[in-house]
Amino acid sequence: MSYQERRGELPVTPRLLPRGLLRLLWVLLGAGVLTFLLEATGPNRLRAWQIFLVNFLFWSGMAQGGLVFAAVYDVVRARWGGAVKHLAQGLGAFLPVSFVLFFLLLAGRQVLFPWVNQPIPEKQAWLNTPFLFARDGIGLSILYGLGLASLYYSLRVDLGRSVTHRGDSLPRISALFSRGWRGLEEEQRRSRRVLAILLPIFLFTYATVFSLIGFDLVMALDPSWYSTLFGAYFFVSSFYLGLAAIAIIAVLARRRLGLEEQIGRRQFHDLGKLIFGFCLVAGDFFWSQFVVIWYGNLPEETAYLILRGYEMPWAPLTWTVLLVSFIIPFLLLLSRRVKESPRTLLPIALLILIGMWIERYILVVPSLWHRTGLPLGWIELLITGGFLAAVALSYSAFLSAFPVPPVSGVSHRSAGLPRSDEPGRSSYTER
Amino acid sequence: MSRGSRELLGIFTHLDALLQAIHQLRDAGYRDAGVFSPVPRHEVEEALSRGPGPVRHFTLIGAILGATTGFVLTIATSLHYPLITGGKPIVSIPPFLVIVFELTILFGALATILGMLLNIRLPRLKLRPDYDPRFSEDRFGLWVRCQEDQIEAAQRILHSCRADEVSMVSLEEKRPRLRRAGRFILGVLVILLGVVVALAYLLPRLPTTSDMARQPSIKPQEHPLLPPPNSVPVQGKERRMELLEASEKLRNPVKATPASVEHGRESFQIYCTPCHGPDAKGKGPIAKKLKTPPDNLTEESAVEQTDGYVYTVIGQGGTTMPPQAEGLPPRDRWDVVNYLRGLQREAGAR
Repeated sequence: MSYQERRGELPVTPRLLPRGLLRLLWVLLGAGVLTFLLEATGPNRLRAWQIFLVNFLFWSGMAQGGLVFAAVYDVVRARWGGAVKHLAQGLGAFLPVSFVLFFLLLAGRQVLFPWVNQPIPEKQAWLNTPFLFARDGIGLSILYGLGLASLYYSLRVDLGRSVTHRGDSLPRISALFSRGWRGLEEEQRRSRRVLAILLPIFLFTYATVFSLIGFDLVMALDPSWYSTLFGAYFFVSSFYLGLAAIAIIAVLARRRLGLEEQIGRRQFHDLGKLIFGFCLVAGDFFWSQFVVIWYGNLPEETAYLILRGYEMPWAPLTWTVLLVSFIIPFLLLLSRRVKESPRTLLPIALLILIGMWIERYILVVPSLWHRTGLPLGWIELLITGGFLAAVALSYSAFLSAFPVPPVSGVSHRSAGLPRSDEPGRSSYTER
Repeated sequence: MSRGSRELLGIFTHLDALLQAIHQLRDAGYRDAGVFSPVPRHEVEEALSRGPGPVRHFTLIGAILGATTGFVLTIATSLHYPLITGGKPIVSIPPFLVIVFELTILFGALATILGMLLNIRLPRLKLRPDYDPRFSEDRFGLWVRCQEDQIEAAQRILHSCRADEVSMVSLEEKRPRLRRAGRFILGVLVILLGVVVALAYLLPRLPTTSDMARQPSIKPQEHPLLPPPNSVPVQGKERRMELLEASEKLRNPVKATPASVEHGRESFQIYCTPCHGPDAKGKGPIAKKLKTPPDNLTEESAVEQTDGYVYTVIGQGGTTMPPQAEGLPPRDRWDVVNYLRGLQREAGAR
C-alpha cells in the first residue's frame, strides 16, 4: 500500500498532554501574555522586560538544545535512542515563536539595553540598535532556518516510515511532508545526503550565532564588562539545559506515549552520561572564565562577579546555581543506577533546569536592576508561566503532528527471546 | 573452578542459536559460562547477564585518589615553599583545581586501564586451550564448565540449540613458569611503585627556605672566595694569608710615586685616621672609646714589619682592628702602605 493511500484510516496515537492540562496551558499562556502587555508599558516595565529577556534566552536555548542534540545524534550516526532523538526534535517547534519574540525585543530596547540611552563611544560601532538587531536577526534566521530544514528532512523520512511500517494516521500539517514522496528507500537516501551537509553547518552556525546572542543580549547588558569566553559558555550551557529538558521529556513521554520499549534503562543511562558530561563541560567553561578574572583581579572584570557572588540580594541565588546545576548533579550522576532510573533522573534534570533558569536570571537581571529588593514576584512568575505554556503547547502540537516513529535508525535486536519483562530492555524489532 | 569440573565447548554459526543456548544453560543452572565472539554483541553481554563489571570501581577509586593527590600536592608544596605570588593567598584553591582536575582524570584513566587489564587477565601469553581460530572469523564459541554428572545434560542442551560442534576440552593447563615469574616481577614493580608514591610526600619537604638571609651569595664584611694559591693579588679576589707567610712572600708591587703616596693619604684619612689618628700614633678620635688602644704605627715594632705584613693587616684586620678589604681594593692598600712609610719616616726624623 502506498504512503498516500494509508492516510487517515488507522488508529490515533495517544496524545502527550491530557485535554485538561492543555486547557490549563492555554490559560497560563493567556495570563502570561496579558501580564506582559499590561506591565511592559507601566511603572514595572523594567521587571516585565527583563524577565521577558531571561525567558527568551532560557527557552530559546532549550529549543535550540533539542535540535542540536538531534543533529549531533545524526552526525555521529548514533543508534542508541531514535525515540529520544525524535522527542528532542520536538523542542525545535518553539523556534518560530522564539524568532518572533526576538524582534519583540526591539520594542523594549530602551528599557533593556543601557547603551541605547547612554551609548559608549568606543563601542558604538558595535552596540547600536540597527546593527545589533540586523546581525542577530540574520544570524537567528540562518540558524533557525537550518534547524527547521534539517528537521524537515529528518521528519519526512520518519513520518513516511511511521506510515509505511506502523500505519499511523497523518495530521494535516504532514501533507507538506508527503508532497512529492518518492518512496521510502529513495527518500532515505536523499535525506541522508542532504543531512550530511546540512547538520555540520547547522552545528557550526549554532556555536557562532549563540555566541553572538550571548555577547549581544547578555554580556552587553553590562556594557563595561567583557569576557571572551562568554559566548562559548552561553552556547554550551544552552545545550546543557537542553539535555536536561530532553531527559525530562523522555521520562514523561515514555509512560504517556507507551515508549517503554524504545526508551529504557540503556537510553536513560546514555542520557544521564550526556548530562553528566555537559555538566562538566559547562562548569569548565564557567571556571575558565572565573579563573582568569580571579587571577587578573582587574576591577572592570571582577565587578561582575562580586555583584553576583557577594552582594545581596543576588549572592544566595548565585550560590544556589552552582550547587543545584553543577555540584549536586555531578555528585549524584556519578552513580550508574541513578542515571539508569527515570525515577532519579527526572528530579535531577528538573533541578538542573531550575538551576539554569536562575542562572539565566542572574546573568541578566543584576545588570539592569539597580533598585532595592529582589525583582521576583507575580509578574515574573506569570510571564515565566506564559513562556512555559508556549513551549509546552508548541511541543504538544509537534508531537500530534509527528508521532514518534516506530524505529529511528536500526538498533540491535535484543535476542528475539522472550526472556524477561524488565522495563529497561531495549529490544526494538522492526514491526 | 573446582577440581572435578570439565569444560564443554559448543560452536555456533548463528547468534540466535547461541543466545538460545545461553539462556537454556542459565535456566538449567550453569553459571560458569562464557562466549568467544568475532564481533562484540550487546545481546551476548545481556544474555550472560554478568551485570555491570567491576572496572568502574577502579575508575572511581583512581579518580578520588587523583583528586586527593592533586589537593595534597598543590597545598603541601605551597605550604612548604610559601612564596606569595600575584598577591594571592598561599593556599588559593581556584588555580589548584586545575591540577586537581587533571590528576583526577589521569589517575582515573590509568586506574581504568589497570582495572581492565587485571579483570580480563591481560596480558595473556598463551592462548586458552579451548580457543579456536574460527572464533576470530565467523563462528561463536560457547564454553561452559560443569561437574562430571552434568556433562550429558549440557551436551543435550547445546545440541538441541543447533550447535555446529560440541566438544570436550581438557583443562589440564599447567601454568607456565614464565607467567608466574612475570607476575612476580609485576608484583615487585607495583610494590616499588607504591613505596615511591607513598614516599612522594617527602618531596615537598626537601630543605628549602624562604629566608632570604640564607643564601649562597657573599654577605657584607665577609671574605670573598679564595684566589689561586701562591698568587699575589693586585686587583680582584684575594685569599686570607697568615701574617708570617705574608711578610715573607708579599713584595710591594706599587712604587712610592708621589701620585701613589697622595692617593694613599686620601685613603688613610678616610679609613685609618678615626682610630690611628692623622699622624698614625694611635690617637684618633675613636681611640678613647676602645678597650684595646690602637697601635702606634710609628713605633719601632710597626716600622720593622715588611710591606706585605702591613698590607695584609690592613686587608684582614688585626686583633681588634676590623678588616678593610671591603673599602680598600689591593691597589689602594699598597698606596696606604706607601703613605704610611712616609709618616713613619717623618716620625723617626723628629
